Amino acid sequence: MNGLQAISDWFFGLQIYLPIAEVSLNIVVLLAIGGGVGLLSGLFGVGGGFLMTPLLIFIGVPPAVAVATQSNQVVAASVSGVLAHWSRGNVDFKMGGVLLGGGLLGSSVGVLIFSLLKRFGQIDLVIAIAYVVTLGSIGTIMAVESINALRQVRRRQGAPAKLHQHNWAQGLPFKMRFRKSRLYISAVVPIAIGFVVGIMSAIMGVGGAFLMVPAMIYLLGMPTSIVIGTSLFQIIFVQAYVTILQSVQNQTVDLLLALILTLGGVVGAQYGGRWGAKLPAEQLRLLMALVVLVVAGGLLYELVAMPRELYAVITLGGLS
Amino acid sequence: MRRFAAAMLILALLVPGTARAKDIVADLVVHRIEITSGFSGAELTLFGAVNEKGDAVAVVRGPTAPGGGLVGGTVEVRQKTRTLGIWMTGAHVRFENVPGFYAIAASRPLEEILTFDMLDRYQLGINELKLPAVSASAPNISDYSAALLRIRQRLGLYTAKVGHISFIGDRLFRTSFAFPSTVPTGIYNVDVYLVRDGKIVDAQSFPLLVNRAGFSADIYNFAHRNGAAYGVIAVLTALLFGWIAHLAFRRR
Repeated sequence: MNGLQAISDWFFGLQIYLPIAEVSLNIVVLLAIGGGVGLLSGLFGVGGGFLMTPLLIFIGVPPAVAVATQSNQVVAASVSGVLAHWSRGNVDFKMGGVLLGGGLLGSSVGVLIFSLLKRFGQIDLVIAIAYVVTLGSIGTIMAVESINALRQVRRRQGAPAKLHQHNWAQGLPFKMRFRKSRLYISAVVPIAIGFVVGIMSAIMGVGGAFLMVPAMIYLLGMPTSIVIGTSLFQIIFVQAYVTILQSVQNQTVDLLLALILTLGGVVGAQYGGRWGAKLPAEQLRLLMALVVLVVAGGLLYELVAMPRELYAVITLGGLS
Repeated sequence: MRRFAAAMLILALLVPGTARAKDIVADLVVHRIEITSGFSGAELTLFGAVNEKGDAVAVVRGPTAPGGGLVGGTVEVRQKTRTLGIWMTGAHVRFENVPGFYAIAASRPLEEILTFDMLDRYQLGINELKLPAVSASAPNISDYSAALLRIRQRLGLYTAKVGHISFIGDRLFRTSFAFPSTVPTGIYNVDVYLVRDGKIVDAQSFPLLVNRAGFSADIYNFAHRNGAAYGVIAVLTALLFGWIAHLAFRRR
């Protein structure tokens, strides 16, 4: 055996036993997953849970542990992301707080729905369909919209864009002024958005930025520059809440796994954030739309394609 | 090998002290598998001696009690069925007393040394494992038990291949069993049989303990005993790491 072979054997043999997941996995693979998802999260301002959860399950982490642990990891990734956006003044704390109110309420309701679905034994199917439908529709809308925007930019260079469109939501009561976002709108709208995203994120085990970010852009009409920082700010609290809830109810948060993913994730997110700052917003949105569509397509394929194993073994009383 | 022979000698000296001399004696080199942070599976050596020439069979069975780890006890096997083009969970069968681990070794192929009847009675060989179905929503239970064996084999928890027990001379024997990193924790049972002329003439049984130890055990126990504090610590650690990362990358 030559030296290079020995080094690569040592490197790829670095197994670590994860105490909660109860499996031994390669630390290099885990760091790579954390780094890759972190890169995307920095680039698009999404937590990346919709990528992280399927990847972790794929390499052998029990689904329940994957979902809960990535919540904890997203907290760390979001903190470093928010601090970076904050230093550039791109966080609307007031808007984040209002969204958060709805988010905490929604995620509590979502956890209830989750346990109800679990009782009916079709939770996996519901999660998969929820992923395909939400990711598929959001990805399509974003792709179409950003392609249109790119065309328009090319047609009339430098023309001032309208801040946001006025719609039915302007007529609702409890109007609030959001200085940073340059909005004067009803608080009902962001609370409702937070609530719906909260439900979805609890059921799907994701932070929900891929739902939140488009909703903030298209429904609230917030400036794109503020959206990512504000969404990250909101996600920190929702995911911290989910982490504690999962620790108390299911004991499925793997601290060691979260630390390794975080280590890879924060490094990836920093580079992602820097690249993201250089790319034009429309191109960034198109790129994110493509990533979302690819994940949705993959999950759809798993739903309809003949599974390699037609049976699944579930240990009762333990984790699935 | 010299140490092995010495251990055998001590054993041989000790055995006559008991009321009746056993025809087969065996032991594991270690009686405990400790799952630590560096754990990536284990290999256990079993050694033993017989008083006269014969065949040896050794079986390791994992814990069947629920809560002995992620596997073991009652398991539900679910079948996916296609409905409206989508694969969804359909019928299921529940099995009880399912061992979390099963491995077997013998000095000769099992069917050469024991009759099918005997293999069945002692549950020797993966296909002789008795998996009693407690509830079923499908008639073809054997398909489900076959799937259970197949999936557990793929995880390395069950081994269909009969390991080899090698004899050193006529008296001393040894073999080894491999445990994957996903082994359930709990008390395992090791059975050793002496076979002559198609009959089991003597047997010995002893436990093997698989438990978490060190850092990984501390984390596991803390998470299960004090979930709220664990969750808060997890969040605080994440906040700290996010902040450190921000500081580390701020100006570059």
